[in-house]
Amino acid sequence: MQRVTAEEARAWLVEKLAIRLGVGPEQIDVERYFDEFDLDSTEALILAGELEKWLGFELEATALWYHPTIAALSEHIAEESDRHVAAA
Amino acid sequence: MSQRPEQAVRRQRGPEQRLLTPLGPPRPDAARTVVAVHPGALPAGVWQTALARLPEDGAPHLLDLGTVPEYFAAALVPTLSVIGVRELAERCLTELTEAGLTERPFTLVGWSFGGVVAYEIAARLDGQGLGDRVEDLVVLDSIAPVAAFQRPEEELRPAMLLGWFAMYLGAKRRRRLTLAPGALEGLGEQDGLGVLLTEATAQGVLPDGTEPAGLRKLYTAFHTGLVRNNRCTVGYLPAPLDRTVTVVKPEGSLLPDSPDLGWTELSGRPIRRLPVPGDHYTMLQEPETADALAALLTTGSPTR
Repeated sequence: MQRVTAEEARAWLVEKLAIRLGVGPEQIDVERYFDEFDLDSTEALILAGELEKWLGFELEATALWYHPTIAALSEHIAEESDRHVAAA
Repeated sequence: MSQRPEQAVRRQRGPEQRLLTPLGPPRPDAARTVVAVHPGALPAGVWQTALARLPEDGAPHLLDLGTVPEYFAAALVPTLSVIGVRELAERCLTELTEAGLTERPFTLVGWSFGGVVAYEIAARLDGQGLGDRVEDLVVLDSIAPVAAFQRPEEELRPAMLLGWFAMYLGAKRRRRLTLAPGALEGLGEQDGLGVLLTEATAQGVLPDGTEPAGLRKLYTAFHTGLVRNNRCTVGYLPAPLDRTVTVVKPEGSLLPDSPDLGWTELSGRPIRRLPVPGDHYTMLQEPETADALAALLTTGSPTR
């Protein structure tokens, strides 16, 4: 398992969200709340599943609630990645 | 991290999310008040089609159980303690009473698990000697809380759950996901989800490129929500009420082989059945179903 930095997580989320929403990556505001994007709960969960596959570990079910923006979630992912790599 | 899930949910959803919401301007002179109990799974907006067809002198209200933090959070985290049917109904009844809605007769409707909560609200009003306030009790493809249908989680067959999930996926995109008869029979979760992913992308229900891991995550959340509702009803085996229960059952019911979904056992009078098009998750969005429901709510039924 490779360590994922906050920047890498942010880039992955921005790219995937931009594709889902059909907009350019530059239009994705990383400080915006997830529930303010035009993304329904189905799309958000599918995105979360694809994110976990990329990361190689599961995020807790409440991650999006505790870390409700791309910026905040990316920082959390980096911390979790460090923890998983250290434990591996 | 210092917040509990319930607090986080409250912050995300905002303080304006109330359990009881009037759908439309206040109408103190309304000829008929309708209260619909919504259990989540789909956005509360799915009621708009049906409730918009009510007569102009109607006053629809929505009890959205998804705004109850403990109920909502238990669908995210299966290890959280869950709120039971009786407490959910008590909270609903408190809101109805505070809003003055129990001062006059009203129609009580519940979709899916919301029908079970609606039943308990009616039972509580009966117990308070206010049973005449519930003019009609209507359940929409709700499975009755009777012993025959209280199954432990391990008895829920994957083929049945995957079939429900297929209906749910279609409803989320406002279209039906069509599967060949028996397409899911005998399949486990992984193979069944593979079939669903292939069909859902081919039929435009999911975007091209959706990965199996994404669909599995969605299925896990769907399954956790079902289990949450199961947990809410553990130990809840109410006595029958001396009233008619109207059972609205779609073509694609959760339990197509059960004519009454168990409600005969809880209805002290003959139940009234109303077949409608659609499936469990699309029934509220089907215009024909909305018309049938509006007609039922307009003309009423002999509940007591």
